[in-house]
Amino acid sequence: MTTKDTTAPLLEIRDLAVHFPTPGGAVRAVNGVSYTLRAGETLGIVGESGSGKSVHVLALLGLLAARGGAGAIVSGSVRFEGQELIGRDEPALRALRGRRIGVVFQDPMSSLNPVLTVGEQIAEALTSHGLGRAAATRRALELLELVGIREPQRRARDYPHQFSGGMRQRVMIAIGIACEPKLLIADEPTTALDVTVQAQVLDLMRDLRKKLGMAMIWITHDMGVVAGIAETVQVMYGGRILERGPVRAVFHDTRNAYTLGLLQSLPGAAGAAHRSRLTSIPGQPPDMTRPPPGDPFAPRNRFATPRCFEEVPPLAQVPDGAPGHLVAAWYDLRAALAAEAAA
Amino acid sequence: MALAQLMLRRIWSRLAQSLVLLGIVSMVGFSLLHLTPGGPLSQFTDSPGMTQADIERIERQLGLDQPLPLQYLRWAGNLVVGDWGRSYRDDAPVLSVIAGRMGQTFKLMLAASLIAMTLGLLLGVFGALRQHGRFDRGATLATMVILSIPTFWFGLLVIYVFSQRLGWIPAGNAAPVGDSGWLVALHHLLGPAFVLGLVNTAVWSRYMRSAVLECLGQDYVRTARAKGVAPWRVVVRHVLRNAWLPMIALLGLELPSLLGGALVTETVFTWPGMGRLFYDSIANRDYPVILGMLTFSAILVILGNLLADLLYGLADPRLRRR
Repeated sequence: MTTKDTTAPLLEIRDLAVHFPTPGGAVRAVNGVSYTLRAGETLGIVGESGSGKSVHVLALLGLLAARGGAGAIVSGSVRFEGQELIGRDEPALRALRGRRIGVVFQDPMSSLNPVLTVGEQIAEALTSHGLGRAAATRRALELLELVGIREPQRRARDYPHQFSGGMRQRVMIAIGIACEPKLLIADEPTTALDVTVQAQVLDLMRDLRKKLGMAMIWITHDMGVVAGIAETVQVMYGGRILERGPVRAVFHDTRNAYTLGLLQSLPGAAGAAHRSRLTSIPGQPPDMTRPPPGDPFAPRNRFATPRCFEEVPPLAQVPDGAPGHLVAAWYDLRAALAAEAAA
Repeated sequence: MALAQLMLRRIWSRLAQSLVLLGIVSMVGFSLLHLTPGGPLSQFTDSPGMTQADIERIERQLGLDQPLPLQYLRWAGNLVVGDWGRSYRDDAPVLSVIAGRMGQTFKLMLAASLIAMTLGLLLGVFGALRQHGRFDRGATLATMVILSIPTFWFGLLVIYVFSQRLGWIPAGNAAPVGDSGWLVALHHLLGPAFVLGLVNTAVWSRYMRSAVLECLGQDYVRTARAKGVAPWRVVVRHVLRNAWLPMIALLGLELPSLLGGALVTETVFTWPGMGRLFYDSIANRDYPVILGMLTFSAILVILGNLLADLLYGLADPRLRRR
């Protein structure tokens, strides 16, 4: 951190791994994830349950213990604004959480404290980082207004159960952005909402991102949401990144069979280019106590080659693809699809 | 204020429910008592000087020759207007007999509750915060031991060790006759309050421990930590604020066991409270007093639960409106 280098990444993750020791063997939730995030960039991370997409951000925030994950083994390196986070003590991480890195969780009913008013819960994010009580209360009202809640004066005194799902999620967002963080991590923030409310929340987030100039990691299982908000998309499976690149490249020049499966299972316009009818990905996610030795997706992949079952494919630049378009695959999806179409 | 109005309405509806409940409880109590062997006249039939004519006269006089439902109705009717009958033993009005003993029992229950709540909540909270730690394991073992020991035996043990052996506390009674200093009274209270309190401490700490553990795993605790809230503040403001809600309900639920515990504790420590009175009345087959005690305890328990319910409604914002 010697000079203000604008090209230096905001977040740099190297070989991040998270294992949970259990009586039935270690659960290998995250297995060597590496990526970088520029300031102001929005990254969409997509994957199904158990892909490691949520666990890896909880790990870098030091929040795993809260979910009964005490004793999780985290290794690798996470540098945020040039500072290493892995192995940092709790006070140092706490100073960062909420202030430099904001978090918005899914299911705002259970993620908000039922016995505190919404105003108190927003203000707490500010008082925890040194703002005085009166100033925090005032700022909480501004934040409520900013996230589009009408009559903030009155609503601040209400409890979470007095809000609708969409409004509660707006409150969660207000908490996440309270200290104007450089990075906002949104963990499935629209999953619990119905489609129209989801669209409103997406609009709000796009708007806030512009106003506050923050980078965002948007975790979801929904490719459609990613298309609507992210610049870069990263597909995770079995605790690994299978494909990553600019949204356009990944959607239109798909190189990983799992990504293709996700796109084909997407209803609506974004998925239409990839299929004639809605399909689902066959098979089950892998048992992460005994992950397959090779490509984690190989057992469910009809394009898998013998090598896929033996050796983990490295994440590498697609030779003839867009810059920054990376894929982990031993097979050539484009060639395989072309051969299928010819047959 | 809408809140006050709502509370009032809730109190009225709960009171109405409580009255129905009380009616049922008193009916069951009344019938059960008359089903027990011996019967209300046994203390007279047992005495050698009584003739058959005497007994029949007493039976008529006490209304015991009437059919049971009629006896119940008369007893219940009198109960409502404040006539709880008279003790067979000394002809004193039941209500004043109970009132005379109430104070001592309340004193004992209050002291025991204070011990139970402070100790129990502390043990529960610190046990849960370091789950399976050395403190937690020790506290768990201790509470299990206390819960497994019968109260009367525990009371005798305390008397033996702290009174007989160490001489720290008096072996029984509220205070010596004529001495009304509060320090003396407190000294006498120590033993029974400790015994009754410790048993309830065990219950409170178990409940509090599991309540805290449950709240610790909640999503809103993770949210608080993600906001960068200081650890002690996470515990006090997010965990405890939620964990103590079920404890309010426990307050009502624990009242019967506290009353029952008081019965045994008071008997062991010859404490002049309602528990002793109940025990003595049963020994003497003093039916009016037994019935009065049953009814009084039922009223206490129902009122206690009503109070706990209302408190819960005030403490939990989710229940305030609707």
